[in-house]
Amino acid sequence: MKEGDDSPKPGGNSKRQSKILTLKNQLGLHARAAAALVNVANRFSSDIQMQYNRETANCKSIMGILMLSAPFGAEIEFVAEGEDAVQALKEIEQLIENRFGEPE
Amino acid sequence: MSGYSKTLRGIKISSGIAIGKAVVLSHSAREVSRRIISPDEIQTEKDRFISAIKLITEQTDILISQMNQRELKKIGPHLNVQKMILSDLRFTEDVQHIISTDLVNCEAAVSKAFEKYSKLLHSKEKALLNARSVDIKAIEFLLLRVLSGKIRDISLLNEEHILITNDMTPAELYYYSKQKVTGIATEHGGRNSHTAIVARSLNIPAVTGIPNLTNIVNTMDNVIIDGLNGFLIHNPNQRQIQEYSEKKVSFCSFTERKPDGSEHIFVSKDNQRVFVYANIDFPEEVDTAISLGADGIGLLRTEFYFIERPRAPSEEEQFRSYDAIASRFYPREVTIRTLDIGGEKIPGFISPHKEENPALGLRAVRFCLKNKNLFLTQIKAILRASHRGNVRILIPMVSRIEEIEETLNIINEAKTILRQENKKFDPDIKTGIMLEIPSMIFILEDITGYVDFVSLGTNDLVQFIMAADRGNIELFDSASSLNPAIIRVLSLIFEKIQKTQKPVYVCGEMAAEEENIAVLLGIGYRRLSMSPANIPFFENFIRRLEIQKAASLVKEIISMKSEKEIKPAIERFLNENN
Repeated sequence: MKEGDDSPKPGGNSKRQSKILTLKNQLGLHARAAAALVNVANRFSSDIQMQYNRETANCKSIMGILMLSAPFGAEIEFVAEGEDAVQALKEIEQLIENRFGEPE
Repeated sequence: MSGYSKTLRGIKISSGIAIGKAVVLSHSAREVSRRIISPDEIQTEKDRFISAIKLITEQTDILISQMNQRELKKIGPHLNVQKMILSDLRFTEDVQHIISTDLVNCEAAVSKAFEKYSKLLHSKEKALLNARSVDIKAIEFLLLRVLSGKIRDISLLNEEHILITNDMTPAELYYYSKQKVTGIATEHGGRNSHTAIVARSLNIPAVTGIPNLTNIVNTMDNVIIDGLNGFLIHNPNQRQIQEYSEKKVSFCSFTERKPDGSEHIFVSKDNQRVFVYANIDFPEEVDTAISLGADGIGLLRTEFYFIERPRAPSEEEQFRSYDAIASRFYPREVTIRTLDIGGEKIPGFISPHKEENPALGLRAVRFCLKNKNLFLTQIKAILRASHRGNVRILIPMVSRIEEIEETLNIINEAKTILRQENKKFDPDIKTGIMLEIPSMIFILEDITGYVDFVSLGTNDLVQFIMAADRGNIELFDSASSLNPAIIRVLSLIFEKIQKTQKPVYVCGEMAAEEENIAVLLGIGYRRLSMSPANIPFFENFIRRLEIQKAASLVKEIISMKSEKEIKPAIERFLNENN
């Protein structure tokens, strides 16, 4: 990882990534699922926002995520900006695909 | 200060019995000081807020570090959620922002922030009673308690205590369980809240949903938590204390003594084998039932999977849950009751309809037959869990043959689909009905031609025969299971089923009282299903009971005309028996 320039360049598209993901776990983004999402997001230096139902929340804030009240089947757009944006979205996608470890 | 004994009804969230002095941890409106501050107090209030959070976080970390592997797995995640919410930037910034712009103290700011959150959540989730908002509320209460200095170190108390509070976080519950707290009762909370799940994992009797509780009960009042029925008894009388002490002692000693369940045999003094099954409300009770030596599950209630949820559980989710339980009990039998909801207990994902008389309304199998997809999904999941051959289906609230026919058709349809899908199941799965509606008694001979077994739901059966609500304290005499009509009906049902040679089970809390057990065994019933917490009490009782003599007792009381005669006769019998 490069140490020098860690601030994302304005308009620097190479570091801004976005992806729409659909919630597959029955209970949607409940407290423990939200906590798991925060844990993953916190491992990255990128700024990660999520958008659902015209509202935005910071992926590193459990309260923000809970307030979105995203249910099963919700389509959420994740936007990551920073050095490790690609990897961050990849791991978030994995978490959601695995239904946060919950049964189908 | 003692007063009259009073029974308060709530929702049972964790079974078992606790008796002790109350410790009220509350922060009712009058105790939390919310006030306006001057601008030079802003920093002080912000600091108070930060140190309260720091204190809770540190204590939570200590708790987590002391957990064993099992606790870490089951309880750890809940504590982490609490920690994460308290350290959340949005939350801490919101509160500090309210302090400095509204010029209010930290308590007022915390309440305002949480009020905003719960409004937001409620507007989105409508009527849904969701665990999300419940869990957040518990954290608000915790913060307010810490801020008002109401949190106390009860580790110094040397008697067993029962905690009475508005609501409680999983972390607090875990902490207090390590102290001398043996039971809890709260005003708020739900069956599926994190706190309820933790209470069940820790085997702490708990009741929730008792309005105004913290104002009714004072610290050091005597209370009993009846986690089997969802009652709190405030200022119990001597008789109640004795009755509950006996139940509790047998429960504690048995769970501690035989963790592997190997030595339990349910045999009467005159060497008759009685089969004891467990009534299971929550998945967490399965381990308790196994350790108490249950011969199987006589009644696995499935409502838990449906209530307080935004959507119906999928076939896969149900299958996994049922299958896990069936595998834990294998080769012992597991009887799964299909969904018994309707009336008042309608899950959030089905639009509620008002009924004049929910107890006599569209519920259980009637409801399921009208929601065929829901029913078919559940039946498929139960069938798939039957692949080992130890699962059976139980249909509740049947009142007509047509309902049995329709249900059997759906079971056959489910089997056909599963064959097409190449999924394993037990093709000879046994199906039974719950006998709880009196109409069934008159057509019992016809019914037994359709089903493999019959389970008596004594709670509803007594209520319907007597037209009296068991929970209504005014109707205590009318809803008694010792009146002549009930004893004769129980005997009549037994004789009729006996002729068909099909097995009959008794599922209901009748098996929790000595008088009733003597009557049931005396009539001839040998398969009883009860709450796990009642099993040790039952085991203890039948070891001293001669069933031969109970049979003579039944012969004697069956011709008696009133409960006034029956009760003393049974009491005499029990005294001689002891």
